[in-house]
Amino acid sequence: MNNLKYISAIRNGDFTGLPIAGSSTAVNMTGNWKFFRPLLKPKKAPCFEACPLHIGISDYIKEFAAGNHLAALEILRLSNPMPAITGRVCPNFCQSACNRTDFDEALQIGNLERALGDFGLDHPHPGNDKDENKTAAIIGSGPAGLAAAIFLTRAGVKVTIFEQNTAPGGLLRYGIPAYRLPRPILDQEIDNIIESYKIELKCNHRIESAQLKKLTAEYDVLIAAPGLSRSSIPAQWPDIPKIKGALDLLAAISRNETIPGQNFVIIGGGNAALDTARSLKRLGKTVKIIYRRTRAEMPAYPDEIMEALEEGLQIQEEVVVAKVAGTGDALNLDLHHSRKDGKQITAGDFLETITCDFLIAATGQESGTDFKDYSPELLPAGDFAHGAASVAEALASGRKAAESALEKFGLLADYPVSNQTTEESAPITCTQLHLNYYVKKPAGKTPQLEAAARNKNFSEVNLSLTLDQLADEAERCFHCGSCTTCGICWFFCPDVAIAINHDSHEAESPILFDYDHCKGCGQCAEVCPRGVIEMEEDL
Amino acid sequence: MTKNHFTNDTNWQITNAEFMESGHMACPGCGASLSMRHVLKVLGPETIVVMPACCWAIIAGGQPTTALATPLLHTPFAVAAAAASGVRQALTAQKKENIQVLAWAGDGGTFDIGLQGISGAAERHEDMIYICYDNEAYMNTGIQQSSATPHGAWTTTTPGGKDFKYAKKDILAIIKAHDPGYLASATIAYPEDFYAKIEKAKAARGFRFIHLLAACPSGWKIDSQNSLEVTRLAVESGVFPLLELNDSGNIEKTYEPENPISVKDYLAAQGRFRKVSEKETELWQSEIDRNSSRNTS
Ligand SMILES: Cc1cc2nc3c(=O)[nH]c(=O)nc-3n(C[C@H](O)[C@H](O)[C@H](O)COP(=O)(O)OP(=O)(O)OC[C@H]3O[C@@H](n4cnc5c(N)ncnc54)[C@H](O)[C@@H]3O)c2cc1C
Ligand SMILES: Cc1ncc(C[n+]2csc(CCOP(=O)(O)OP(=O)(O)O)c2C)c(N)n1
Ligand code: SF4
Ligand code: SF4
Ligand SMILES: [Mg+2]
Repeated sequence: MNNLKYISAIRNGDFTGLPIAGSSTAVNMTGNWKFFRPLLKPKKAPCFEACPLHIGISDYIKEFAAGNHLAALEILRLSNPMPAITGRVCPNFCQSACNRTDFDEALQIGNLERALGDFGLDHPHPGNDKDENKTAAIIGSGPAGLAAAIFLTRAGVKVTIFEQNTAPGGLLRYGIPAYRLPRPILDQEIDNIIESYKIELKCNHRIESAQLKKLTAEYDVLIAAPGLSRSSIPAQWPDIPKIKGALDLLAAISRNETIPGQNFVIIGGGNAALDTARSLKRLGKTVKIIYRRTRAEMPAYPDEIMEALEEGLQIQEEVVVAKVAGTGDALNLDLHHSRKDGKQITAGDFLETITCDFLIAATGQESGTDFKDYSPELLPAGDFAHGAASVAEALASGRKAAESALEKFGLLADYPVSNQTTEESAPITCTQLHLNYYVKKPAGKTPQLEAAARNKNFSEVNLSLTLDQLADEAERCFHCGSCTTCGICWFFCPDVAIAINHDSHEAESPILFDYDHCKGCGQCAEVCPRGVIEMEEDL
Repeated sequence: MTKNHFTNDTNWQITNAEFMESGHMACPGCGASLSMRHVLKVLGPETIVVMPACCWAIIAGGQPTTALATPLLHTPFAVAAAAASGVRQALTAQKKENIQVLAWAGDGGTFDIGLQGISGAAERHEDMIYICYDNEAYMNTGIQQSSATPHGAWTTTTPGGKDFKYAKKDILAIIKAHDPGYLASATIAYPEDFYAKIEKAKAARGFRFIHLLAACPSGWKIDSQNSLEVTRLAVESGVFPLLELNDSGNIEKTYEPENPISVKDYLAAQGRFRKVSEKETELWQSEIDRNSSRNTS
C-alpha cells in the first residue's frame, strides 16, 4: 500500500516525506567545524631580495612564460632600465639565491633578462611629457649617472649629464670588453635611453671641483657619479711608462688604439685583471696573470675565471712581485712566494726573475676627482659613493640618489622609484615550498663561442637565446611566495571550498576561500608549491 | 576545461564542473571525499552511484540533503555489487548503456562482507566500475580492523597492533582471477596516474575494479593536513604500489619512485603504527623488497 503512495507522489513530483534526497549538502555550514583557517600570504622571493635593484623577477617571468614579452619588458624596466646590458654583465645575484638550485638547477634569470633586454633595444621606453619645473645636473654617464637621470626624468625633472669622455657609459664602455658587452648593444641601449627620456648629455665636459659651487647654484640638485675609473698603481713601483694601470689599457683597447709591446704581466685577481688579460690575448699578446692568493680566492666572477682558463690564460697563484727593475726595453720582475702574515700577504722566499715588456697593475681602483671634499653640495652615487662594485649596484645607487632628490623636491609620493618592500620579513626558502608535483628540468643555459674561436677577435663569448628558445626556461620559475593561480590548492581541497580567480586584477585575491564550508584541514597549505597559503587560528 | 599546471609536460584536462558539493559530512582532510570528487569529475553526470554502509554513506549527507549531483542508491552493507548489477540490468532494459554504474564501497564492504557479491558480479562481467576506497579499517563504526587493515596497525579491535601473521588480503589478485575488464590501484596523491586510470576504466566495459588508498586522519592517527603526504609516502615506500593489469594479463607498476623511501619512514609518519617493533618493520621491508607489485598496505 505504501509503495502505491510513493508511486503516485513521484508521478505528481511531490517528494516530501519520501526517502529521496533532493537538496544539496551545501546548506550545512561545515565551516563551523574548523579551528584553523587558510589565508593567502604572499612572500618575498629570494631572487627579488638578492637583486640590488629588487626587480620583480617572478612577476615579469609570469608574463614571459605567458608569451607577453612586452608586458614582461615593462615590468623589468620599472626597476632595471638597461636589461640588455645587465643581462650580459651582471653576476646575477638573483640566480645565486634562486630556490630552484636546491631542486635541480638555478633558473637562468640572466638569460631571460638578456633576451628581454635585446627585445627592448628597438622598443622605446615610455617617455615622459611631464614637467615638474625642476632641474638636475649629473656628473658621469656610467650606470649610476644614467640611472639617476632616468628615474629623475620619469618624474618630470629636467636632467643634464656632464661626461668627460667622448661617449657615455663609463666603465661599461671603457672597462668591460666588447667580447662580454658588444658595443652595438651598449650603443643601442644607451641611445634608446637618452632619446626616450630626452636626457641632455654633454660629452667632452669634465667637471672640476672648482665648478661644483656654480653647478649647485644653476641646478636644483647635483648628483656626482664619477666612478672609480683609474687603476691605483702600487706606491713602491717606479713611475715609468712601462708600468700601466689596467683601466688605462682597457680604455685604450676600447678606443681601438694600437697597443705596443708583446709580453705582458698583469698583477691582480679581479675582473679588471682578467678582462685586461683576455683582451690582450685577443690582440695576439703573450699574457700572464700573477695573483698573490689562490685562484679560489680571486674576486673576479667565477664564470670569467673559467672562461679565461678555457682560453688558455696562464694564472700564477700565490706569488708576489717583490721588485721591479727597468733595463732598457724590458722590465725585470723578481717573483717571490706569498707569505701569509695574518690577513696580510708579504713576500716570502725568492722564486724567479722574469722579464716582460709591460707590467699592468689591476690591484685596485681610485677616483679621478677630489669631489669627496665637497660632499655637502652633492648627492654621491655609484662606485664613487660605495666603492668599486657592480653595474646593478651602481644602477641601484643612482636610483637611490634620484629618490633623495625627489624627496627633496616633494615629488616622491607622486613618483615612487624604489622597489624595496617595506616589510622586513625574510625571503621564502626552498623548505617552505612544496615541490612534490614538480618535475626536474635542465636549465636553459647560454651557448658559448668555442674557446678556440675566441682568442681571434672580440666577438661576444656568450651567445643569445631567443625569446622562443627561452619559453621553457621561463616555465621553470617556481614563483616562490607568489600565487600563480596554478590551482593545486583547488585540486586538493576535499571540501570544494577553494575557487581560483584566474583573471584576478591586482586588488582582488587570486584565491577565494569559502569559509562557510572550509573545515580547516590545512591540505591546501601543505600542497601549495609556492608556500603562499598559511593556516591561522580561527577564533 | 582548465589547463593543468602541475607539471608542464602533460596536458591532461580537469573540468571545473563539480559533481560533489561542499557541506558534506567527511572529517577534515578525508582522502575518501577528495577521491570521490575527482572520480566524478572524470565520470561526469551520466553516472549512478551505488553505495553500501560505510563512511561515505554518512558523508553523502542526511536526508533530505545529498553531496552528489548524480543519483545515489544506498544499499545494505554486503550488497553493493549485487545492487549495482541490478541497476545495470535496469539501465540495459531501458537501452541506457551510456550511463555508468559506479559501485563505491569501503574496504570492509569490499574485502570482507561484500566479497561474495563482487565475485558474482565479476564472474558475470557486469558492466560497472567498482571502486573500493580503502581507509584500512571499519572507520564509520569506530575503527575496527578489516582484512584490508595492514599488519602492525592499531585499531580499536587490535589495540596492540594487528598481528603480523595476518597479511593484507591481495584484492587485486582476487579480482584478477575473475578476468575483469579493467583493474588498477591508485591514489589521488598521484593525480595524473589517478586520472589516467579512472579515464581508462570509464572507456573500458565489463566489470572494472579500482583499489584506491584513501587516508583517514582519525583512523590513521595523523594530522588532517598530512593526509595527502602520508598517502604519498605509502607509494614512495612501496607499501602501496600503483598498479594496473596490462594487456598481457600481468599486474605491473605504473609508477616507480625516483628516490624510494623505507617502510620505516612511512610508519613513522602515523600514530597507528607506533607499536610496530624494529623486527616487524624489517619483516615488512623484506616483504616489499620480495614482491614489489603487491599492496601490503
Ligand atoms: C674591468 C672591469 C670589469 C667590470 N666588469 C663588471 C661586470 O662584468 N659586471 C658588473 O656588474 N660590474 C662590472 N664592473 C664594475 C662596474 O663596471 C662598475 O661598478 C660600474 O660601472 C660603476 O658605475 P658608475 O656609474 O658608478 O661609474 P663608472 O662606470 O665608472 O662611470 C663614471 C663616469 O663618470 C665620468 N666622470 C668621472 N669623473 C668625471 C668628471 N670629473 N667630469 C665628468 N665626467 C666624469 C667617467 O668618465 C665615467 O664615464 C667592472 C669593472 C671593471 C673595472
Ligand atoms: C550487516 C551490517 N553489519 C554491520 C553494519 C555496521 N556498519 C556500518 S558501516 C560499517 C563499517 C564499514 O567499513 P568500511 O566498509 O571499511 O567503510 P568505512 O566506514 O571505513 O569507510 C559497519 C560495520 C551494517 N551497516 N550492516
Ligand atoms: S624559482 Fe623563480 S621566484 Fe623562485 S628564486 Fe628562482 S627565479 Fe626567483
Ligand atoms: S596552490 Fe597555486 S593557486 Fe593555490 S595558492 Fe598556491 S600558487 Fe596559488
Ligand atoms: Mg574502511
